[in-house]
Amino acid sequence: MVRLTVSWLYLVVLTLLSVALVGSGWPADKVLMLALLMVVMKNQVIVDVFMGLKGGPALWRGLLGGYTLVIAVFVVALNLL
Amino acid sequence: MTLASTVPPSADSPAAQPLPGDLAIWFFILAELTVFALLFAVFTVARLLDPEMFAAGQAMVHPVAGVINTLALITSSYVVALGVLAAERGQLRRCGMALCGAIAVALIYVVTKGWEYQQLTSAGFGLSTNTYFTLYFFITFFHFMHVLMGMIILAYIANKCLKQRYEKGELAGIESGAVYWHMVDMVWVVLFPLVYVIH
Repeated sequence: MVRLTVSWLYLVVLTLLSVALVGSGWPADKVLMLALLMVVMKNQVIVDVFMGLKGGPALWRGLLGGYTLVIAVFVVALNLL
Repeated sequence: MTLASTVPPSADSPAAQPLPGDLAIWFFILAELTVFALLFAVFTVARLLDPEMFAAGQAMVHPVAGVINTLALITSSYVVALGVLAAERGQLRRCGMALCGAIAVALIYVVTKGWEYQQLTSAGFGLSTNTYFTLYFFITFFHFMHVLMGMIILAYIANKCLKQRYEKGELAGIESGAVYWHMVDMVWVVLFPLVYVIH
């Protein structure tokens, strides 16, 4: 239960940080990469802790954990082209 | 026969942790995530083709509503995970209550999203306004439908839990519903920065 609560707080903090990025005045490329990095970090927590895949089958953990990583790499690559 | 092959797997070995829920729900989730990934790819490519139009469109959506919806879905997912934990401990009524709580939190998302749609449509924005709004409405409404479906599933499971209609140790149905709900959360976690944050 403590692990779930800590994970939830972590997700809330990352969400608020991603919003704070918009008003940071940083270059768009940097905001894009940081926002997507946070998405990957949040997704990993959802997959590992909420879905309970940490220690579960590596194939499914890899598929779901890699999902946002692939999207993030795709978005960053297209934007940097 | 070697000594290793005669030793049963320990309880904490990776093989001792099976996939939560039914295998079918995981394939269903994979299919759903693929559809959303294609929509995200279309959104990203369309933005690159006309960044000014997308920037103008993004300026019209409500970032605060996006934040509220993100927090609502994350919190709802957390409460569902608490419910599954209670079910694992054999506390079905507590699980049912947690799922009802998760639905209540998800209602914040439904109301906020409805308000957002109402604001945009009353300001004259719709599916045919431009490519940004076509994709915005299509992707967010598609996700919205998944949220409603998830709420129906959670309500069904909550009702069964409250009436103690699950056998002891019968977790597959509860876990499958929970995993579907986490998938809905996961999709929003990607959707939120793409639509609201990244310019």
